[in-house]
Amino acid sequence: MASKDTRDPGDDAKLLRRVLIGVLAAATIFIAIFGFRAVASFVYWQDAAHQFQPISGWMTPRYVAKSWQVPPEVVSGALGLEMSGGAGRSPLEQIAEARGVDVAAVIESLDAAIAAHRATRP
Amino acid sequence: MTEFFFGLVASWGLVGVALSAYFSCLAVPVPTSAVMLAGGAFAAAGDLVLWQVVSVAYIAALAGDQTGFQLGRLGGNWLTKRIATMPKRAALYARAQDAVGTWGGVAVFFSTWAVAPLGPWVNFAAGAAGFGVMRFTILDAIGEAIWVSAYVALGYSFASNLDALASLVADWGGLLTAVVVAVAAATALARLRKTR
Repeated sequence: MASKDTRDPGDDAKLLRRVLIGVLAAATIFIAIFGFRAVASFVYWQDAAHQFQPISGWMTPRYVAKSWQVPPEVVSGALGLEMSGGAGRSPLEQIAEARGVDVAAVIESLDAAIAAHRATRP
Repeated sequence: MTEFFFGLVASWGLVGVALSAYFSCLAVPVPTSAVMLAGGAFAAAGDLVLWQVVSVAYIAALAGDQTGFQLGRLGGNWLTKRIATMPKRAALYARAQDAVGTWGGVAVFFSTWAVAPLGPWVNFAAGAAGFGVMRFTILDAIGEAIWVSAYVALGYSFASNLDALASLVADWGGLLTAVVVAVAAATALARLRKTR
């Protein structure tokens, strides 16, 4: 420890060194945390069971069709919704709200329509 | 949490993309990577148009970075006037400005994409330390082009599971940031030892 009265460039270097060691230590901890998470999310990503994403209120009808790899007509048919041109771009939540129904009911009808579509073509 | 931002893009479209890209460059904690991925995914689904998502996100990110940089310049001018009367601090500040002159370009470039969480702070610091406007603008434009196109392309290509994709990208992005910071700190430590 240098005495605090003498402030020469060496003190600056010492302070910088301490800061850098602190940054390095913090970064190492973050490497461990994110390394673990990165592997976990990669395993989750690779798992075929998670290939399809449960239908949720934020999804748009087109996104549901894209995610579940079904023709858009399956989704538009289940929702009774026009999807040609620019129509049908709101999320399911807003569609349900506009109709005064629960979003869970909308999701249920979509799940059923997708299951039915899958059943016709194994 | 991220679902809220997916919903934001779903209902607000390009406006949601633009707002989050702009404000994340000003250190507002928005999960912009998730928003960019969502923009790409909705483009793949047909709700948005790919080139529009890319252009809007790019322009908004550049505008955000420039705003942060200019705020930094304002702060820097104020600081310069204040510390002109304090020789010791002025010397320290001059050394910091030197360091930014030498390393600022590297920092500006990499903080737009590889170390994105540090981006806003690097912009402020670069502005405050008097980093050249032209150099900043060019390096920032190249870096943001990498960042925006990479994230939107990932969202577009792997649209089917946005949730899993967003956590995958966030975790790998975090790992990349931590590795870059660790390497930078270790390099600086090694150089410091050499000069002593």
